[in-house]
Amino acid sequence: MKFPAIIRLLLTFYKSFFLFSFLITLSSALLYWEYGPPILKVLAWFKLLTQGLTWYFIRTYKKKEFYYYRNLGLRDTVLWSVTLGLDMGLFITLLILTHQWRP
Amino acid sequence: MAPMNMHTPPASPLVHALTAKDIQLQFGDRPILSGIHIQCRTGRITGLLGRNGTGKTSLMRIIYGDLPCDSRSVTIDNNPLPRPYTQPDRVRYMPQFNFIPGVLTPERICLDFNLDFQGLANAFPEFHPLRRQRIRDLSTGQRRLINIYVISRSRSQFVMLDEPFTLLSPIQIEKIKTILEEEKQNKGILITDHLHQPIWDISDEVYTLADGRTRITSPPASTSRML
Repeated sequence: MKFPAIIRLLLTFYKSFFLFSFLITLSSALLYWEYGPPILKVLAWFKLLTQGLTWYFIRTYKKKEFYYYRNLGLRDTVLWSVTLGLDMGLFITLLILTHQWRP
Repeated sequence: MAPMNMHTPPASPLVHALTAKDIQLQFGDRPILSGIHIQCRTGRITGLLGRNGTGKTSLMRIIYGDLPCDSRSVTIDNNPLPRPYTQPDRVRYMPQFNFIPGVLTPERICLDFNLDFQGLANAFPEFHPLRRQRIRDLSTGQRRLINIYVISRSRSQFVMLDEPFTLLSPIQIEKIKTILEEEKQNKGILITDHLHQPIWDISDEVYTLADGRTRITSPPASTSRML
């Protein structure tokens, strides 16, 4: 499968939980804005925990859709590692930006 | 000057053989599969029949590699195939439920499977106005048609179809039978369904699954006694 097609499929999968995940990231950024570096450790654990919950719920309630990606050559492990990695990258980026813009 | 190599490629596509044997599956103390031997070849449609709960879906999932079992031997051309679900160019599997994410449109699904949407619309004209409709908004039968179409038409050495005819109208069943007859020229097809007649109509050989074992069966009369 060609690279653009792989990216397209990964984004489709990421969209299935993007809204929930982005709300978590956004609220973490707001909390960091309010409380600063002392809360960083709590936010990191909070994000990891919600990622774990996302993994559990998608695996449970959307497990039938994994056959779509398998039939197109994308393994479950690739789907999860890339999308959760991207999600964590977004979380870290937003926290860094919040840190820089914070008064 | 050396003569040119006059070798010409064979006119027919390469014939491959998918073989599953020595499959053992137990749920708790209850043996489900124990004496399996099934072979599917390019150019042939292989039917699999059996009562509810005899393990037809489990057998397909074991061949596909996504259901763990006690023992398993699946080969293509005698080469072991430990995880076929990672190699869609070799084996694709259509489960008995809709597996396509509901947000996708028929056009996008065809694109993902490297197929032309026009081919789908020509085979089933009802899809002409549904090109950009999310498939979760389509009827159950229409969703099923797309499931069957993309798996059977996509490039792969073998496809396995679990209950393709259920939920379809007689006219749609006839069209799917035609598509499968065309596609078997390029691939091997393993198919199971509770509707026995279409399986008998299109299969080149039929296996029955009973008491955990597969037996090759020829005439429909003997199968109806066995089931």
